[in-house]
Amino acid sequence: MNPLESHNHALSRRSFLGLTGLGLGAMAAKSLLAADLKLPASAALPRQANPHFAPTAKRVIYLFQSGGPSHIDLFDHKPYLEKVHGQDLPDSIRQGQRLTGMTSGQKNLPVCKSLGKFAQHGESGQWISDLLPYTSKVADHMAVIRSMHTEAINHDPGITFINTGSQFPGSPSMGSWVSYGLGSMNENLPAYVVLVSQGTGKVPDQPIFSRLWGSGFLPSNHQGVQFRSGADPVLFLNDPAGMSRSDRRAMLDELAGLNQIRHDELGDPEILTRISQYEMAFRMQVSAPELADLSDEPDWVFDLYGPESRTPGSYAYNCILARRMAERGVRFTQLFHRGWDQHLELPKHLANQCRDTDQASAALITDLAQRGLLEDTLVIWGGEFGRTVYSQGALGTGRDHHGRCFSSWVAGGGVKAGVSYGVTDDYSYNILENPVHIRDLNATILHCLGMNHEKFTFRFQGLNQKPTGVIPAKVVKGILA
Amino acid sequence: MKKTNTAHFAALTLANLSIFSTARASAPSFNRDIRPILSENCFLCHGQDPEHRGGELRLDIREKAIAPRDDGPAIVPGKPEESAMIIRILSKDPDEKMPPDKAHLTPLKPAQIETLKKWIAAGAVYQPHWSFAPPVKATPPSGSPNPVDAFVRSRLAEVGLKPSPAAPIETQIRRLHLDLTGLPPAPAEIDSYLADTSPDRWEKRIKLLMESPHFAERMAMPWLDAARYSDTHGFSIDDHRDMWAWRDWVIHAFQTNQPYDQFVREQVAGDLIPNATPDQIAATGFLRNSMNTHEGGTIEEEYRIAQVIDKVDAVATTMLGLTMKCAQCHDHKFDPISHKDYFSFFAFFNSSTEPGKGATNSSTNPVMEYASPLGDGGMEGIRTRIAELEFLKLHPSREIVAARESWETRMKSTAPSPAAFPWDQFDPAKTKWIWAGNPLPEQTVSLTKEFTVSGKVQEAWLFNTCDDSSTVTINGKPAGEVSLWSAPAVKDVTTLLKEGANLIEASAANAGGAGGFVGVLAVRTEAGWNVFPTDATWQAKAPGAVSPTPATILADFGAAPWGDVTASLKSADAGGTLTNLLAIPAATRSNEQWVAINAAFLKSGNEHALWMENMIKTLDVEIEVIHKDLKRGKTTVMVMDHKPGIRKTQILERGAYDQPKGDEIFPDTPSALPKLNTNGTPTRLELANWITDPINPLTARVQVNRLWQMVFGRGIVETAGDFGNQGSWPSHPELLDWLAVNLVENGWDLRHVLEIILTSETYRQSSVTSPEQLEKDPRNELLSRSPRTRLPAELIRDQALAVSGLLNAKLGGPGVHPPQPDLWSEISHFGYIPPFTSQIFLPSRGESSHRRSIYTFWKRTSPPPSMVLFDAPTRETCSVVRGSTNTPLQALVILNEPQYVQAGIELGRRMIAEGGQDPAARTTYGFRLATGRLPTAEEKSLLAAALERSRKRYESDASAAQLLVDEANPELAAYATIGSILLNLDELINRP
Repeated sequence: MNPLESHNHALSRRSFLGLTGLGLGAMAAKSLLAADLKLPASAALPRQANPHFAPTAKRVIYLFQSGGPSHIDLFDHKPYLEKVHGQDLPDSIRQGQRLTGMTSGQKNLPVCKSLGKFAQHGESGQWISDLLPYTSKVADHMAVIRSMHTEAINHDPGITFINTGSQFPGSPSMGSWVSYGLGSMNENLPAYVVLVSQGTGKVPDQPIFSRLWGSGFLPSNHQGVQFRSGADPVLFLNDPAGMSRSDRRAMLDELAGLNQIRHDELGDPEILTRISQYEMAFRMQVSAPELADLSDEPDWVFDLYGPESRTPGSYAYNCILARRMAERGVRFTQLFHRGWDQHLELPKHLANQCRDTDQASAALITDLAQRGLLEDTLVIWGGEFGRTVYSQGALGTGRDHHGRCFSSWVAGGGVKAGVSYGVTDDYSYNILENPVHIRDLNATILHCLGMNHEKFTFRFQGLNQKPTGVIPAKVVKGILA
Repeated sequence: MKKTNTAHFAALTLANLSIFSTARASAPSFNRDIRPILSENCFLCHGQDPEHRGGELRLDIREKAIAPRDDGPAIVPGKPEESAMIIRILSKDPDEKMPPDKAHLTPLKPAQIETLKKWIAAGAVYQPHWSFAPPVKATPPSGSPNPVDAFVRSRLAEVGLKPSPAAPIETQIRRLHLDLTGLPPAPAEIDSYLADTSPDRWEKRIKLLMESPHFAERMAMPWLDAARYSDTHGFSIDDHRDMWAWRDWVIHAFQTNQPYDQFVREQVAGDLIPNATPDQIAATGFLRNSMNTHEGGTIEEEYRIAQVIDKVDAVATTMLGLTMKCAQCHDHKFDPISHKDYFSFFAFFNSSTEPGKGATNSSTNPVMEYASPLGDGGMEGIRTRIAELEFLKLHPSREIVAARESWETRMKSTAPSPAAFPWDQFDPAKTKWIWAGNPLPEQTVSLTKEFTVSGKVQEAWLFNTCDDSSTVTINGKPAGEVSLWSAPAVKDVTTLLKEGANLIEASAANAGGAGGFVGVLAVRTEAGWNVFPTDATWQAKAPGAVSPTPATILADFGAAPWGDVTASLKSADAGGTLTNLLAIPAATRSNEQWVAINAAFLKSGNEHALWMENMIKTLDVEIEVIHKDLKRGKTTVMVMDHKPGIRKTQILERGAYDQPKGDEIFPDTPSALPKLNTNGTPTRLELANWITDPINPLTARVQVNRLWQMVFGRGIVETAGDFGNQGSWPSHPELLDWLAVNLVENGWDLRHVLEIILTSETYRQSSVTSPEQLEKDPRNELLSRSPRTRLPAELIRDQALAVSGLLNAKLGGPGVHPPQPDLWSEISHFGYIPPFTSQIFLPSRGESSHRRSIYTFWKRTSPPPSMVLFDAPTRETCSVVRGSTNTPLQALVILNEPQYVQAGIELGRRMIAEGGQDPAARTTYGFRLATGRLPTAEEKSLLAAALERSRKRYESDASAAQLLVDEANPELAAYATIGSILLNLDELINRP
């Protein structure tokens, strides 16, 4: 079965015919199943064919760093801060910008210099802090965007915004859009997989929510499927104790026999779809555990990803899983790593958090590259916002949320390697050049996958809803090869 | 603007114009054929929104569309070829053609252009949007006594289709039970129906089912989606709130058949009804189901506005079928709702004291004490929940219990018997309770003794205890912990000591002002025993002291209040020492004994101990929170209040909370709809009266459409939440209107309308699908057969519980927690101290895990996974249409989710117990329990073969049977397999 078909396979025939903003996948299946069916007036014909143009990436690995990584201490080198360390943030820089409820009552906003020591790395000479020694080594693979920005200043709206295109709930996640538009490349695995981990930076860190990988108004089969550490990597994957694989096989055959009788009686094609979904579940019972079982990975892989990579549920372990998913054709793999919300004890917590993530993130790039997968895999590293140049509490103890500028990096399929993009002011507070709104980043991700975010729509509440929302978004051409 | 629209209505009513074109083959109808094309392709720039208007042209108003322009009128009635609109649509010039490329729209199809031309040729007659005109009760076409059949069949005849014959009677009765109660009929209920020979047995059964409380639960299910009902706040921490009494209010309203207009009026403005009863005030919980947050940096006004916006959305979508949300930032692009209209509507909800910051671990003001109208007001449910949580305090989770078990095994193998202590060396007279000075509250002191051992250590024992707790080390190595003075420790410390100088140190802590440490170290060398009791030779150091001083003697050993603490060690029956406790079989341990064992486990350094500690703290908070309800005998519910003048409403630029602009906006209804008549500033009460005024063209239509959707799986208007220009065209417009008018004429009696639908032959027809039907009516919009829609998530689970006999049919009460994987703590703030509620999944036990799914506790950031996989919405926002996907993950739920596995086993048990002795009779019985019908010969033989196969398998491997059904019973395992097959039948997943 080709990927486009399998994508539709998951959607009930009846329900997908009821949809209105159909992608190419749906069109293809429509031509197979329903070419002669009259669509009702309400079901306007598809208005886009996806991919809209040749993609540069077939799949995405999104390393989402939840909580707001401190861009000032990691990526945005500001030597000027050494001079003004401890001084109040000038009003000329703050420009009346709203602050969160956590520091809006603070009398002084003392500027705090970067915690890490910055140096230039690789042939590209990208500035990266020594808190990220491994990431520094893959600098030449990365396009670092130092001019990311968002309107959100708190976590819930912030992570909801960057992951769903809206600060408030109800919209589909990026991964579910991609699942909807492009479908799976492996019919035995979900198109959109989610892996969650908690860092040692701040425990427990801000909560995350299933809406971040939810399907919003898209059909629910496009929601991200969470892979969990432990015996049951996908919910309810394991047959009950006392039921062997051959028992299950026989039982499914018996079930299919009864369903087939019913189909012959009623003539409802949905019953045949049901039978095939049970078959796909049976195959997934093999393919998902095989994917989640790292016992066939050689030692050098664990060495590459670091000591934590042998611990199920850790970020590093999940990075290896992400590479395995890329190998097996999962379209969109997203890691959610918590622990970056360092209001207090920043020096200690940030160091911990970097130790959790630095080696494995870099290893993933190296590993994908050596396997020839990086060229058509888009890897994204970033959070929902950055952190303030001024200290929360006493000087040097912590930093508050900052949405006016922050740093993310992308690498892989279609990305110009070794690029620094965007410039902030001396305080890393405002953007001076090439602002990249989070919706621009999302538009760019879609672009790499061959999709025009303007034309990629789904009808909901009478509107052709776009993954990037109502406000126009632009593809960041400056980071594309 | 308002005047014009009102005039429209008047004209329409006077002329009794039908806004639905019935002559389908002739000239295009504006509403059915033209408006969708214009709305989709033109109104974005040529509609009512002035901000995005192109070329100063409007196509949504006829007089503007036909007005003279430089390049000729856009529409010249009667002359399509002269109409600029058609010329521009046909143009190949990129600067000329419409819609322009930059709109990213698909070019119009030739058929659409033809339709436009025909319509212009016929005079370009406009019609007001159908749903904004009052419904008209047309005379049903002749031929069928039931109006549903009359309208449906007339439509079928147009495409040359005939209705299907009646479904088999068992199918009909099963369908009726599932649609009305969400539960399948029991065999006895089918039998009693079949045995009834009266001609009105169908009508009687409908009435009977409507009297069942399960009917009320079924009716409440879609309403809870619309009302975004949830048991948690939704944003950020997502801790719990108490709204379940409001959910019970909804069920109760359906149970008492409250007229729909009252039902709506009380939910929108129950608090403003003169002399409002607690029930009426509680009803306004509908508006309070908005999400809220107490995230640290929250800017309150931002979230207060978001809550008001959510109320507008919920009321407009649920009650009016309007997507008013679209006018939040600008004039609606497609419907006649301006940005100002939006904020006039918003103003109705903007005068409550509800804050922008939510309360922690509880409901947010305004809150009312309220007893659920169902059963005992939910108090039994609370008591059950507290008992479950208390149980979890002793046995927190499977993982912790497993860790504790392996710890216990280790302790048993290594722990010495206290009897091994050389009690003959113990001299009570020399042993003292010591401390550093007089004990001060909450103090941790250090007690040490240096001593010398001459010769090689052969054996050494430490006995000690502390009031309240202590940690002892010998030469820096752990030598045991005590957490309760009455539970002293005895430890073999032979390996910790050495020849020569030694050091014993105790870190001793008290709670309150008590204090005291006592112990004896006995060491045996070749030369015999050396004994070191606690006495003044020990050194003591209080916090802040510079250097140690000799220990203070508080009391002699054996003094009150402690007494002889060695007694428990020496006697075998005591619940004192860990060793003695662990000697008691787990099944017979008392709660107090478990508490003591857990205290020891918590101090064991086991990696699960921290988790358990957090769990216990969390459980204490969870218990404390709901215990308040028990104490006052009532729960609480969040309600609306009204404080006129509390704040001004202004238009918010782009809907942004911090960008108010212009004059004060006063509450009012959208100008395109009938005017709200009032003296002075209207309140929510006037709004509620306006919504339920028969003159409102939307309310009754939207509700009968939702009833239709509940029964047939799809509304007459498929976009049940959008009756506007972009909504779908009704499949049976005259029927929709007939039902809507009928609802109002019959006192808004929902049961009355349902009865009309359910007594139709359309409802009772077969679902067999013919190739001709697939060809002419592929989506079954015309109801040429009964739709086999996938059942909603709740019904699939409830059905499995019902046919297996597990269902606990109790009504109402606090949310229950049927076991599920703990997805919560993976994403939540679990572990934060002080704990928040609802951060870790705390499963129910026993019967309360088998309640109907409508009672499952709903956490918005991680809703019940087996329901979400079957398309249940997250309940974060208002939702009136559910998807119906068909996926492999759904298969995994019914195959493997533990409750479904258990249901399969119990169904197997029922087959054996109730199905007779003969295997064929038993499987037939099970099949009938599940499907409501008897198996065909072919199905019977397949079931027989499956049973035989499974029986052989489990008889040859009894251990597999043991694993599957938890008893060495191959026969049960075989029937459990059949039970699972039955629960997985497509027939149980789709509507019959």
